[in-house]
Amino acid sequence: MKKRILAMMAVIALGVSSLSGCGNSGEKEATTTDTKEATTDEAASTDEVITLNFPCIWVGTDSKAAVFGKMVEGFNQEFAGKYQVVIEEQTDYDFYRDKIRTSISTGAAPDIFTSDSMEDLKLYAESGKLMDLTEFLGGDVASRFTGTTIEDSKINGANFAMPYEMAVVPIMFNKKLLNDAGITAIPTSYDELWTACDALKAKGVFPTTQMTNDNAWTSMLWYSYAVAACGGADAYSKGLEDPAFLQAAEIMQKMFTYTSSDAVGADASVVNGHFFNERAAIYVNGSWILGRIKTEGVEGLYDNLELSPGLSKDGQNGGAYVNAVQAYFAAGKQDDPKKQEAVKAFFEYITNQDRVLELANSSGSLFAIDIDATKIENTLQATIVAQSQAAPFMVPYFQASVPTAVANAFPSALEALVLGDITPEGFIEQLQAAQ
Amino acid sequence: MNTVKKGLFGFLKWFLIIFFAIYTLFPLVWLFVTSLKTNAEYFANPFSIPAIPQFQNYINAFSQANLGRMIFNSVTVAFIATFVNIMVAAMASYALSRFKFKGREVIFALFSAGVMVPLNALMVPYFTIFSKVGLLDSLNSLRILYAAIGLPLSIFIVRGFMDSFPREIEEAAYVDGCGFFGRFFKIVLPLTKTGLVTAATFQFLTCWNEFVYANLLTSSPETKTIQIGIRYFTNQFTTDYVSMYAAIVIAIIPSIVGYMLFQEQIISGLTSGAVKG
Repeated sequence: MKKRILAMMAVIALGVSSLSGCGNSGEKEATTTDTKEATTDEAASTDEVITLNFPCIWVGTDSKAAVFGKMVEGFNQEFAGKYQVVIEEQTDYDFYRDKIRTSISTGAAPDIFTSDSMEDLKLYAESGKLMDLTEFLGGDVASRFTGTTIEDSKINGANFAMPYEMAVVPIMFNKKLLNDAGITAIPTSYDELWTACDALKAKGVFPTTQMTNDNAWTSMLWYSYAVAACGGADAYSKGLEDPAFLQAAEIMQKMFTYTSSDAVGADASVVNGHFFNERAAIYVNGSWILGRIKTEGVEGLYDNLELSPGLSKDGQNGGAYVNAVQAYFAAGKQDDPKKQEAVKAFFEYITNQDRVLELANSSGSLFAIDIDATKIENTLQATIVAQSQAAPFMVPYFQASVPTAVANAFPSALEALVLGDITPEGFIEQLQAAQ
Repeated sequence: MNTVKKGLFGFLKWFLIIFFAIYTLFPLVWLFVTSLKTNAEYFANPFSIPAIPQFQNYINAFSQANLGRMIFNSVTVAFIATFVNIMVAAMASYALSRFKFKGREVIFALFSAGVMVPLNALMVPYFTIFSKVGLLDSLNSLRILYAAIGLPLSIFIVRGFMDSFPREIEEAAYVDGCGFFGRFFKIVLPLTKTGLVTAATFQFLTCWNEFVYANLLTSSPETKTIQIGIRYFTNQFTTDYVSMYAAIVIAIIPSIVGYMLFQEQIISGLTSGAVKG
């Protein structure tokens, strides 16, 4: 009987798979044709349509997925018969990075992609795999961008990537928990923070949330703020030899004495779980998390939030804001001038201020595009914009400011540091060794 | 005294059985229970029971991630890759086991060494090869790749079984007039079935669970496999954990059904394979 089942399953699998193999392209063709029929009624011939493939992370359950998807649809409709952007859904960000790196290194760069790493983009640009956007970004669209973001994202004097999403990162305090612990004023310095942490700890609340798993994201943000407090605006330009990195490591070592016992090995879900459920009082993350705090946090948490910029150390460098480009748009080098025009048209479309405002309001994210801050509907998001505009200086976050190998070495070095396996000096040595 | 010993032995036996049953089943039960919670409940207490079972998570898994299509793709990829892998492994193992030729052991050692090569290190060459032959974004690239990358382990397992298979049976078949292909397909394959099922089990699980190459070599929704579907609910900063767990529950069902259907062969293959490899 089992033999029969096995034989039947093998035959069915073979038959079905050969059909699916044949049908595959047919189905894809059908899908594409359907889309084209819907959007390119006027198209004289499908040959004229320039198709841009775009492996995209803003899909699935991402907070930007709905509005950004609508934006792409809008572009396809506006340029029906001329250009079409085809999104390739990518949800796992680590593997997305791997895929982009592999595609580019094998000469099959995607037409459009996003990256959060200027270091990676430098490599791609220096190997001649990226389209030069200098002329485009220096033209009419330049006025759409905030501050010096275009100038700051130049590689050897040229723009190979367009800054888009910003990581604007406030420190978030749960006022209710702080008040319960007798803290009425939000700390503005590390000394005040330690006092608040002692009071919170005495109340049985985890003062801060920390993690070392994956890329140690939220702890990496804490470290970024510590580097800003110790080294000021120029810390990253001086390299890891700057004492600021060592002093910041000492701060992190202390910070981990004011966190949950599961912090070592914890991932983002653990960190979020503690803060969302009022087990922890102080948390650092980007503006995009506000929507989730509202929907997944305990009742009243969102209304109890107070946001602050970076803390001062020894009376210096307070009020800084971690604010860096979170996502750059880039394009694979194009030999076909028509494809170059298509890429530019798409970039122009998605940097339209009204569209970006809609994207910001729907997702909680902030962008390198200069939008009217008074039209931001979310008050906390508006607070972040106001605080960051008032900040004496901005600093990028650590992961975006160091080579990928150093960023990758950060979680294990941090883990060793807080477990006492290495000293703060050893922590810096581990990071330097990864360079 | 004997009664006491017997009683102690019985207690220890049942203690271990229950302990390992809980040890094995707990993650599955936890996964299923968590897949019926809300994200807020999950964050509040990962080990709590859902107040109201959220079957919507399963609907989300199917409707948002298009899991049905992905399961279909995974099934066809896993079956074809396993079939091709086992056929090639059986033929190679037969040659390595039965024929004496110069370099035989070197070839076997080279095949076996493949087990130690980390697959992630081969992303660039594989991507280049499939790009050059025009098989990117095609399920056939995964079928070919999985069949190939599983060969070292399959040959290692199957050759062990073939080495222990008595030559006399083949010789008797030869005397009775059975030709080369007849001996291979009618005598050797059926009688080394246990080894083949063992290798096929490992191969199927590899194909079913593989993610890196599935993500690298495919791009359109029509060619995505179930492992990509599971990750549909994760993104750069946020994860819809409960829907992801629902997708994982759905993804492990075929493995459990397969195991239930073939458990006899799998268990005998794994146990005998352990001493023959």
